[in-house]
Order: sequence, then structure tokens, then C-alpha cells
Amino acid sequence: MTELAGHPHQIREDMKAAVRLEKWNIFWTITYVATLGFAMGSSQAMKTAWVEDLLGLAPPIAFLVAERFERRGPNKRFQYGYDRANGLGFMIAAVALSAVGLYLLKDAVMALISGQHVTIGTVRLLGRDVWLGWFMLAAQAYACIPPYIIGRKELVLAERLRDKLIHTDAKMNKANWQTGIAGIIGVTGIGFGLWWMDAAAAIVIAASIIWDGWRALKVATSELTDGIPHELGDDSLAADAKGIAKALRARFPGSKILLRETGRFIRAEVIGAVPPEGFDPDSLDIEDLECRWRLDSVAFRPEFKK
Amino acid sequence: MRRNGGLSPVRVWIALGCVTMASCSTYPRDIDGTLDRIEQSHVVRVGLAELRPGQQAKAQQFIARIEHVTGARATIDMAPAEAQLARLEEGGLDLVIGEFADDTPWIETVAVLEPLDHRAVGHHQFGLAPAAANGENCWIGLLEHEIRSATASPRS
Repeated sequence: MTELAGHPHQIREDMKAAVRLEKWNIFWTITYVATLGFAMGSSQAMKTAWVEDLLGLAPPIAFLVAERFERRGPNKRFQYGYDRANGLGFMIAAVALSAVGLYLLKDAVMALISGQHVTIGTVRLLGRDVWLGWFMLAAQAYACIPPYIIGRKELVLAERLRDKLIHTDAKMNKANWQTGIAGIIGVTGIGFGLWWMDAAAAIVIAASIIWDGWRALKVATSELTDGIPHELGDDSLAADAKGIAKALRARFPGSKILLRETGRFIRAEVIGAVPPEGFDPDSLDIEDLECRWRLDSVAFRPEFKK
Repeated sequence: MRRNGGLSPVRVWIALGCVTMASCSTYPRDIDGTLDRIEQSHVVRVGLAELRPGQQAKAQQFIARIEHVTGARATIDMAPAEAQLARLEEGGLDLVIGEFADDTPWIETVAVLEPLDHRAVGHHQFGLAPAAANGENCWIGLLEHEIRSATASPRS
């Protein structure tokens, strides 16, 4: 039960790995934000990518803060503990992802409408004039690598921990490396004299980011308003929740089963049934429940209330 | 586990690198083809702003450099700086040389390049600088190279 302090023992090692990964995520994000900052010049695509990468710090920071709260036990003010700190962090990450998409779309559309021609000059290096676009391309290429690797690692951990915040951060990292590629296409296009390529690539990527952000926002809102447990990156009923509902219906026929998600945990309520003597939720035979630790508690309400 | 056979940043980077290297000789290009037009027509359209005598000589030396490098003849038009920059933005000129403040609002509209010379007026810095249309990156690269050469060896 998560009214106790700390994470369930089944996920402690994965949580430690997630904390380590998110710390590395912050470190690498700072390195490529700094690199892009030095190389961005007057390119709109580069500036947009820089702002996006900076916003990319929000989900890992939110995760680390939420994880610290989640470990705490309940107290007088928070008698159920801090399981929902993760959900709150998830909402912050979803807002950041959506904001990035909208910002990127606005910039790209404005650049396309105004027919903006981007100037990328040269710099003298060791006696030779070098086009600054080469530095921009190198910086963007570097900025694609950490989010690509970290995002893939995050997906695996998010699945094991049923952690929507890490899952959204993985989406954010995907958005980051895709924007990096949009930046590379944009700067390369400018080099070929194709001023519109920058904005066109950015519009396509922005649309995909907004779609991911919108889906994450729907799920985050649902979680914070006692909605059903969702699949990661999806608003359908989670397979774990289906299994729990099925097992409870079989054990308490004629009752109504309500499920809600608090952070990574599921809480169930059985309405119209009396708890049997010495009932232990861990004794329930639940098919398809890979992560037993997800079922946090089962409450009973013997009378239907209209 | 399914292997990702689709888009990856490494593959995109390699593909773009190959395409770019394949056309390295003409890279970067001008969006509106300024340098190509100068080389084909053998004419470079220069707008000179009203300058002080010492500055006028430096601007003329720079124009001579550009004529030499491009093999084009300069047609020079004198007018106030703002009018010249407006013509530059509209594509009526290839190059403007004038004295611009460091924080001139025109840097949003045209590419004001490194100064050939500069002076302080009160708290403000003014530079005698060439300006080109935004996005003419090949032409701007050539101008920057000549500015650096001119300021490194002003007599040549």
C-alpha cells in the first residue's frame, strides 16, 4: 500500500534507474542547449529549436521533483501520501509539450507568410572564412543524438513503471530530435537557396508535436479528475485495469466496480458489496495483471447511493 | 524487440551530408541569385549613402575590390541611407555602403555586415558598413571575405 513511505519494492530498482536517466537527460540537455545557443545566429529554425530544447528540461525536472514527493509517506495534510505528484508532473510535461508545438507552429507559419529570407554569414577561422551554417548543422546534429538515445531508454522504463511522466518526456525527446532534423533540413535548404524549406519542415513537425501534446493533456486531465486508468500514450482503458475490474466482478457478482488512477497506481472501489472477513486484495486472482503493485487498494461501499 | 527501420537522426544526417557535399562548389547559394546575376550581367548595382570625405574614399576602395573579384562594373547611385536600404530590400540594388549605428533597426530587414571603419558619436558607435539583401548568403560570404581582407590590409 502506498500510504507507506517509499516506492513498492518491485519497482525500486527501475525508479533508481529512471532517476539516474533523468539526471543524465538534464545534463545532456544543458550541453546541447548551450551548443545551439552559441551557433544559432539569426536562423529562425535554430532559435525555435533552442527554445524547444530549453522547454525540454521541464519534464525531467518535474519527474525528479515528483519522485521525491512520491517517496514520502502520508502526513496530516496529505493522508493518502503523494502518489498524485507524478500525475501533477505529467500535467506539467503535457502542457510543456503542447506549448512547444504551438510555439513552433506559430513561428513556422509566420516565417512562411512573411517570406522571411534568413541570412547566415561567415566567420574567419584559422585564416579561412567558414560559412556559419556548417556550425549550425554540426550543433543541430549533436543536439539530435542525446534526445534520440535517452528517449528510447525512457520508453522502456516508462512501460515497466507505468509512468506517464517519463512517457511524455520520451515524446518530448522525440519532438526534440525531430525538431533538430527540421533545423538541419531548414539550414540545408537555406544553403540551397530554398528559403521556404525551413518553415515547411517545421510546420509538419509542429503538427505532430501538438497532436502528442493534446493526447497527453487529455490523459493528464483525466487522471487529475479521477478518470479511468489509461494506457501509456493513449486514452483507452488500461489492460491492467480491465483485468482488475474483471477479477473484482467475478469475486463480487452484482456489484459495481469503479476504478481510478492515482499516479502510477490503481485504486478500486466495490459498490454494493461487503468486504469478506480478512479480505486481502493481494489474494485476488487477476489475469493479465503484469504489475501486481499497481493495485493500490480496494475499498467497499455496501450501499448504492443515488 | 522490433528494430526501428524508419527515420533516425543519424540516417537523415548522413543523407543530408551526402547531398550537401555533392553540391559543395555552389554552397551556400543565394536565395534570389544575386551573385549569379552579377557574374552573368557583369554589373553590380551599388547604392552609396551620403558619406564624409574620408569614408567616401574607403567606400570607393571597397567597391573597386568588389569589381575586381566579381569581374563586374559597378553602377553607383548616391542617395540618403534609408532610401538606399529600402531599394536594397526591394531588390533594386545589390549592395549599399553607408554609415549605420550599431543598433540600427534596419538589421532586421537587411544584412548589415561588419564595418570597414567605425567611429563613436557620444555613447553610440557608428560603422561604415556594406549591407546586402537578407538570404543572399553566397554574395554575403564574398562581401565578408573582402571586408576582412580590406580591414586586414587597407592599402591593398
